[in-house]
Order: sequence, then C-alpha cells, then structure tokens
Amino acid sequence: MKKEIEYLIIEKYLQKELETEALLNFEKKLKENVDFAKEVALYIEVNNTLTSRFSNYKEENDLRNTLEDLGAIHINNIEKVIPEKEVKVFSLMKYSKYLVAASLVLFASLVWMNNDKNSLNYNDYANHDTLELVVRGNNNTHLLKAEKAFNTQNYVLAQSELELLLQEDATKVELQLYLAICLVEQNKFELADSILTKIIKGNTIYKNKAIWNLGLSKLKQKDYPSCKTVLTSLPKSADDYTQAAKILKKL
Amino acid sequence: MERKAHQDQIYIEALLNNDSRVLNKLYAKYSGKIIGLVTKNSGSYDDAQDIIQETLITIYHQAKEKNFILTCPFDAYFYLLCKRKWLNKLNKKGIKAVTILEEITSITDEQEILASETEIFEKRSSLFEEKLIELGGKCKELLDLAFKIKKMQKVAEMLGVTYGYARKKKSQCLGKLTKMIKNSSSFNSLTTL
Repeated sequence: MKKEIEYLIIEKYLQKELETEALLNFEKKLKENVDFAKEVALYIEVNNTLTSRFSNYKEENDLRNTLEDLGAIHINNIEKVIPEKEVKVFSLMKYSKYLVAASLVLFASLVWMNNDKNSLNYNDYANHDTLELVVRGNNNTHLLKAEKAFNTQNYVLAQSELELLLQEDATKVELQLYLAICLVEQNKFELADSILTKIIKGNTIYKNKAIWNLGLSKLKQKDYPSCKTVLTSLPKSADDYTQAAKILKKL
Repeated sequence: MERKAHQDQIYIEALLNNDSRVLNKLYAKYSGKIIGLVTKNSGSYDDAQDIIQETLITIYHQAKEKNFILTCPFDAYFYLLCKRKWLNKLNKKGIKAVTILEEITSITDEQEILASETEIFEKRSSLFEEKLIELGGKCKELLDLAFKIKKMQKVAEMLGVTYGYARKKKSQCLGKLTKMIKNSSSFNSLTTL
C-alpha cells in the first residue's frame, strides 16, 4: 500500500502537480534517500522512453523508409559491381580453356543460385487470408476495428486492436496467429517468431498456418537455412504446401 | 558536466530531422567499412544493410530520448556499434564467434565508452518494451493509451473515468512495470555508465 502511494506521488511530481510543501518534502527525500531516488529515476526513465516510442512511431517509420532507400542505393550498388570484377578475372585465363570452361560453369551456377535466392521476395508469397472475426449480432468494436485494419493492411492498428482483444481472452489462437502476422509485417520478428513457435507446439487447427507464417518470417529476415527447415516441416495436406514447395525449390 | 559536441554531431541531427541529404553522405562515407566487416565475417550485403539501419535507429532513439551528444568522431563509434551488433546476431544464430577482421584499428577509450553507453541504452529500452508486453491486461491497455496520448486528462475522457482515477491507475501500473523491470535477471547488468 505504501508503495502505491509513493508511485502516485512520483506521478504527481512527473506531471508537475505537487503543491509547494509536498514538492519540498519530495525533493528533500530525493536527496537523502538513495533507494527512493533510484526508484524515481527509473519510473521517469520508463515513462519517458515508452512515451517517446509510442508517440514518435510515425517519425521513426519515416526515418526507416529514408534509410531503406539509402541502403538500396549505396549497398545494392556495391553488390552489383562485384560479379563484374570476377568476370574480368576469368577472361584473363582464356589460354586454359578447360579451366575456363569449368570455372564458367561454376560461376554461372553460383550466379544462378544467387539470383534464385535473391528473387525470393517475402511480398510475393505473403498473401494473407482475410481476417473474419465479426459474427452477426456481435458489436465488439475491437473485433470490427481489428478486422477492418488487418484487411486494409493497416498492421499497426490491427496489432493494437488484436492485443486489446487478447487481453480479454488470451487463449484465442486465431487472434494470436493474426497478431504474429501483423508483427512480421512490421519487422518485429522476435516476438512474432515466439508467438508462431508456441502455436506450432500446440495442437490446434492453426498449426499449419503458423508453420507457413514462421517460414515467411524467416524468408523476410533472409534467414534462408531456418526458412528451409521450417517450410520442410509443412505437411502435404496444408493449404500453403504448393507455395512452400515453390520457395523450397529456390532455396 | 556539459559535453562538447564533435563536428560529426551533424549526423545525429540528420537522424533527428530525417535529413536525407546528410544521411546520404553518411552512407557514402561509412557504409563501406561496415559492409566489409559483415561480409568478411559470415554475413551478406543484406545483413550489412540491416545492421547499419538498426544501429542508426538506435542512435536516433538515444538522441531523441536522452539528448545524446556525440563527443568523438562518428567513424569508429559507429563501427564499434555495428561490430557488436553483428557479433550478437551471429551468436544468436548459433554461429561461433569469429575472429573479426578489423576495418578500423584506431579506437579511442572515449569511442569505446560512447559505444557502450549506446549499447546499454538499447538493451534497457528493449527490456522496458519486453516487460510492457509481459505486463498485459488492463494495465498495458491503460499505459499504451497514456504513452500514445500523453495528456492524462484526455486518457481519462477516453476511458470515461475521472482524471484523478486515471492518474492513480497509471501510477499503479507504471509502478508495477517498474518493479518487473527491476526484478528481471538482466536489469542489474544494464546500469547506465
């Protein structure tokens, strides 16, 4: 109980709502009691960090887009230059025709393999089923909002609505699955992968969908070995087996 | 004591202002060494791109939330951060620690300290976010709103409760979250320098 009162005083201090005398007492305690001072510092740090993360989401996203564009210009350009240099090396070795032929075959297959992997694009395969949660007579606004947001690819809003729904009932695996998809779409892989792994370990009808989406998550992360391992475990009876087979062929 | 900013502080400002012209210079000047570091140590060009981007986002957060001032050249500081991030990633993938072929040899103590500060900042922030998810329930719902909307008066109106009640609930929930953070096993190793 005592702790709760202290947290309220910290909150009032944070909001600059302490009256003069209470403020003086608070500041005196801050100076004299090291543990209390640490408690206050952490409370304020957590508040400020999370407030900044939540309220600057759009700004951060804009910066990410800029960095992605610059990365594509600077890093992909360098990547394209390298094979050209290697071709020049081969041309110098033309006197040794067999070696050249063998090297060219090897080189061509390496390029082919790389191109094949590079042509694997998450967006080409991430054709998510629509979310259908609302049933006649059910006026839960979070259900409506989650469904609408997900089906219009507003994954940020869909995530927060699905989280609210899961707070009401955390056992709904369908909601967990769609929450994980929203997280993958936003590159929040760690949490997404842990949710999907948990679904895979269970024995629900969503198991195969979770395997497929974990495979897609690994593909988006360009973690090809894991992608291969995950997708190999998808049974032939799964809806997404044909698509998974296409990815596996390229891997 | 107030820190004196190095002239490379322009890169920190560019992150805060999303200034693509200056950020373009940053990529032109510094991305080569990071690509070398990653591709010579079991990584791809895409890995290098991810490491550069995530490191810059961390620096952006630190500048935004802690008014981070760069007191040394950006070069080695940025390289150190990317290197540590890449090593962590390799460890997570289960790839045994490699002998990093250094692209930069002269790293000062100050650059080491600044890089460690940024690294600890990132780990603390991740711990806060992780524990908020673990908190769950009505408390998370209230805190999400409070963090997004900031003004508690508005939060109270949205929830249909009095301002005093909303503020009290927020203090209880944030207090609970603070306790969870303090009690986590990694917290003690993440003290600020």
